[in-house]
Amino acid sequence: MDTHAPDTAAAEPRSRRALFASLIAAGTAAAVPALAGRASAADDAATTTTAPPHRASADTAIVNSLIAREASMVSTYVAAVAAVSGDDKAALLTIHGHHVAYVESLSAFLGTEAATTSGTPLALTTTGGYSAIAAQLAAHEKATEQAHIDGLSRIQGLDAAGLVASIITVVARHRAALLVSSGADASAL
Amino acid sequence: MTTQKISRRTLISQGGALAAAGVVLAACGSESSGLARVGLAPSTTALPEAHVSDVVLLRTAQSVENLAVAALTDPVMGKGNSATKAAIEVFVAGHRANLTALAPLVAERGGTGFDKPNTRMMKNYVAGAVALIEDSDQQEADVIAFAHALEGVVAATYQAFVSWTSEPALRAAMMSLAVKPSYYAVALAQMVSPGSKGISPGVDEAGNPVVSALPTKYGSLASFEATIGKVTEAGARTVVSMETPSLNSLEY
Repeated sequence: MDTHAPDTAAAEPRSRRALFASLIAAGTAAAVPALAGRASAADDAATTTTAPPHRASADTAIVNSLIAREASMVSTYVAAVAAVSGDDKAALLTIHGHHVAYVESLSAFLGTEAATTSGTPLALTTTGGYSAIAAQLAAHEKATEQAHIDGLSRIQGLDAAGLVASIITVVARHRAALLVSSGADASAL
Repeated sequence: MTTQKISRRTLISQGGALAAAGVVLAACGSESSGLARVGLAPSTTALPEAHVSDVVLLRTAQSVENLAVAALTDPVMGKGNSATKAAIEVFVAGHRANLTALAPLVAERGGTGFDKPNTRMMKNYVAGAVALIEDSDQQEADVIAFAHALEGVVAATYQAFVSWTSEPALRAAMMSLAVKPSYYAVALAQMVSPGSKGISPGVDEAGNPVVSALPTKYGSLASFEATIGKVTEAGARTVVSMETPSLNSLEY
């Protein structure tokens, strides 16, 4: 029986360095299909519709204009609250508090880019009692509602849009509450 | 017979090459788990892919407006007093006006209008509420309570859709349609708690929250509840809890 004991050093002149090189080459080859798969997935993603951004720098000016409008509403309600009493005062204080919250939340959204504004009061005659004042405030609420809707039509970012939308439904409620609580019926809405 | 001695170096070299080949083959393989299957396992049919587009949201808005019209014109909603009936007529006209406004928005985007009430909301909310009011011994109050929750959920639907809508102009168009249901919810709240006293949230003598025109600072996307129906032996009444449409109640 012949036994063949090859001289491995001579027959297999592969060094440890060559071994590592072949393993690295094999690893690279193994990675190619996986990378190719990822590349094709990226191609698929590129064909889908681009999602709207969560934040957009172009929204800053729009949100700042809404802050100015809300600040004016706050100043207007300060004057209105001083002219009424009892349940009427409590109701107007509630709405005043909402507008204060809107100034704060919109300003917080912009952070350092939020413009500071003292809020110029809107036209308001504080005589004539709650009904007369409520009717004027309802008109201001309607204009504020429209300002938010106009702003929303230009806002690109989803975060700002969601915040403004959540304000619109309650500003609309302000108007209706002021009208109905001072005697208007549903057909006036 | 010839035997070959394999040196350690050859073993490592060939073993490494074999392992590398294995990695290449594994990478080329499919994602299939390859697990053996035992017993009967019928093949499954994948659900059709559903994409939430602006048209889907508009069609769903139509379905919710149709739902409001269907619910408010149900004969049981005529159980209120004359003031409630007159108000409900105004609300129905408002929802029909919103439907008129929605139709071109759908058509402009190549969609087909949806002229039926939201299937799932009709089944889950309205059908049950109508039956409860029919059976109730407080029908006048129940009509107001249910309509109040209904108007709240219609307004909230538009608000909820803003974060799903891709076009900014369409978000604004939708929110302009949320205004009327918001007004109507207040008008109904004022039927329960009238005057300026009913504007702010509060509690009654027993400490229970009262219906108010302005229950929250920001538009809520939580459930809108109506406590309606006959009082049970335990002294409780049914709470119908309505939510804005979700992925399983959109009209694709």
